[in-house]
Amino acid sequence: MNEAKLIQRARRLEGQALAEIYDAHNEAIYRYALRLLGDESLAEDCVSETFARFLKVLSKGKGPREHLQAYLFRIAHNWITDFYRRPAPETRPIDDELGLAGDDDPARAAFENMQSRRTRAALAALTPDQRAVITLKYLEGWRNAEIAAILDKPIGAIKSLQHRALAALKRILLDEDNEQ
Amino acid sequence: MSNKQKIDPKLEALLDELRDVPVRDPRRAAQGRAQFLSQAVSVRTQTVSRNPLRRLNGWFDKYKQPKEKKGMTTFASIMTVLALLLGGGAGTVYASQESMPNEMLYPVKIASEEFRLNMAGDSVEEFALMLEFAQRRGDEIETMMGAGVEPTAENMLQLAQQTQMAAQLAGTLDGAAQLQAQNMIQNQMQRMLNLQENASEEGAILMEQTRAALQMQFMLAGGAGPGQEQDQGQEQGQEQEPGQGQGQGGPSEEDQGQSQGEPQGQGPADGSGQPETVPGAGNADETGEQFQNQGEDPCAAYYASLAQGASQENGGSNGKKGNSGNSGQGSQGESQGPVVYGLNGEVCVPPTVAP
Repeated sequence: MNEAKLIQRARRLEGQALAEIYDAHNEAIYRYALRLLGDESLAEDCVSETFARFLKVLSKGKGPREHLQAYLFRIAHNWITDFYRRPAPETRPIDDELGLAGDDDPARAAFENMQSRRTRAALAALTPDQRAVITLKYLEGWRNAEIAAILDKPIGAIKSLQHRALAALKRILLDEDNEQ
Repeated sequence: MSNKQKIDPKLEALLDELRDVPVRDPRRAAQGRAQFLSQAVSVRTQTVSRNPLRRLNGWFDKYKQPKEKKGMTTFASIMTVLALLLGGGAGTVYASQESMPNEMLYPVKIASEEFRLNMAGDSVEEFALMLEFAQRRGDEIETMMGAGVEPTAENMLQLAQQTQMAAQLAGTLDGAAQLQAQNMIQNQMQRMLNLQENASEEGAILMEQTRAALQMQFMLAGGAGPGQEQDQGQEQGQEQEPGQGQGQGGPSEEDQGQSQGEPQGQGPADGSGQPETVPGAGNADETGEQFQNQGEDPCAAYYASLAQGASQENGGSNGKKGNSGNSGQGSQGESQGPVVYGLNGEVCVPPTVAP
């Protein structure tokens, strides 16, 4: 299988293989991080750190033998989880940063609007695993089995996480609306 | 099959709004890629097993100590030569000399270079060969750029490493030969600077990082890099009194600390909640720290060597090789020699020569 060979070459630290892996996955990880973090700079940091950690693992002769994408997303997921665990999350000037360039980008406008921020805040209120399940499933379109590989949990646990996450989101987002 | 759980349409609509993300800044994306590739090159050179075609930075270790000819090694070398010469390989080796990095015969070219290095008789010859090979790497990169082929990180690294090794070999030479060798290295570094200017953004970042490391190493060996001459010579070109710390300049001028910003201290994928070291935050490596936290006058060693030269009253001030290696190029060239740099890369302006 191509991926298996690619991973083998990456484990030998072949530059071409590493570049291929980066090119194949960095965009998806960036999108994933941006959706969860809501900050382009942090998303770039997440990508950098994800691949730096990946390299570090490879340099120790370890690393994945299969499911490369799941492995990389797991690193990114852990980085984001760590970010949310930090005692005093920085208040990023999202408005200023995002408003600097590309004001004519409709995707940016949608990304910035109040409702999107509210939805992201609701996602942030979920547990890390719940957040990953919702993001990967409903925004990235992944299957339960793939998500299970990332989170290293059985598929049944993924379904359960999904159920609880949706219930929590509904409570946070929709019930609030009803109350108002 | 769709394995999506039934979801409230309103909730689905809210999540849909997060589906599209703003267009990524291409510059930052390119920087991130270059950073990763740079880290990959760095990790590879520190980690890989001894493969003579790739493990170029291991070469110098062979030359630091007097070579011990081992019977089997010599025998194998002779047999290889004979095989190449008599077995029809000579034509292949000859043909390979014009090959480019992306061509099939290129490994033969590199192997033949290594063979020539192994056969070098003394350090002068070793230096000459290493510099020649470094210049070849520069030629190759220039040719590739001219043909619209972007050099890979490996190409850039080979150029930097071979130049670096040539610089180290230059440090082992004696007297006038060393000065001449250092001038040649400076020319080579200037060439690297030119290549960097013409490289793609990604290549330029890579070159900058490797060149900064090279400059640092060259400075350690008592030389001066061309980039410093351009970047700093004019900024600090005013007269200053010897012995008075200038208290400025060093660390911020030369971002050696962040040039190799390899993240450290984090376990992979462990979610351990350890404080993060954000990439790009400028984790000064030990070398960088060593030079940045000096409170003393960075040119002190240079001035001391000048004073020593004056006290000895030996006429011309030439011929003092950097004794500790950190003091620039001794006192030679007060009138027209190369610019001398201090620990942090500052230009050390010699005082008005006292009679």
